[in-house]
Amino acid sequence: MDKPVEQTLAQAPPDLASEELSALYQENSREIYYLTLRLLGDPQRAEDATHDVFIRAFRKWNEFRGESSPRAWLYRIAINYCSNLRQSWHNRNVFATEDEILEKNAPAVTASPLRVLEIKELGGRIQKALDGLSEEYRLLLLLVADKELSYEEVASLTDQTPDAVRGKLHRARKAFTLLFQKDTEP
Amino acid sequence: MKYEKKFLAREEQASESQLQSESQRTIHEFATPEDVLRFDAKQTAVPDTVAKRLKRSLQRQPQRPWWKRWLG
Repeated sequence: MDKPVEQTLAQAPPDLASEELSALYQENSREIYYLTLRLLGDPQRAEDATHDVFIRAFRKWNEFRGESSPRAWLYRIAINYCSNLRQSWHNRNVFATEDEILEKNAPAVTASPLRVLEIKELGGRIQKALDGLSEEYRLLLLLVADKELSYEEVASLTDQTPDAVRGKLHRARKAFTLLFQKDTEP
Repeated sequence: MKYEKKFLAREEQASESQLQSESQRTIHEFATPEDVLRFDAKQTAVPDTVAKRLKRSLQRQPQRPWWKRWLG
């Protein structure tokens, strides 16, 4: 005798072949992989993180209420995952001092564009510049770079107000530009 | 509104004299850090292994415990 439909559904594992989950992966995997890659700074760890983020998301998909966009929801899972990995006294304290130094030394206006000659080296240079920032600045820049996220969503993901995001973003841009140019220019 | 500036990318033609000594080079200019990151993100592909691993993991996913199934 066949199982009742409800029982079959309850027991069925989430299936990547299902249209909904497949679309969720197709539409967001690049962004999640990129965020984890730049937050963790290691392709293998980013691969593991992306895998784990989507596993968690698929398992919790039925609980997703649509209060945020699926992208923002996935970002939240990814941010929590990375922050659990990275959390340590050193990470929380040392970079704060570096931000202060960077802000002090940053030029008043970063008018000059960020120049890149060799695209193949771009990833490494970006990583180096991001690694010099605090976790907060790094996350802000990476989230704001995603045009699908509004300032309100970025604010919600980083637990602050949109105005605070704007203020910190200004300083994060300056700090990133300084680090990036330092590494680029002869 | 998001801080946006037009993405500037320009191909710089080497002068004729330079052409002999070096091949054509491309200089990319980005107005903001976000532009650099967007460009980099577009160049970054998700490894195929992620989807394969996901598929395997989902197939291996354990069934809910009997008492959860029984209680509904």
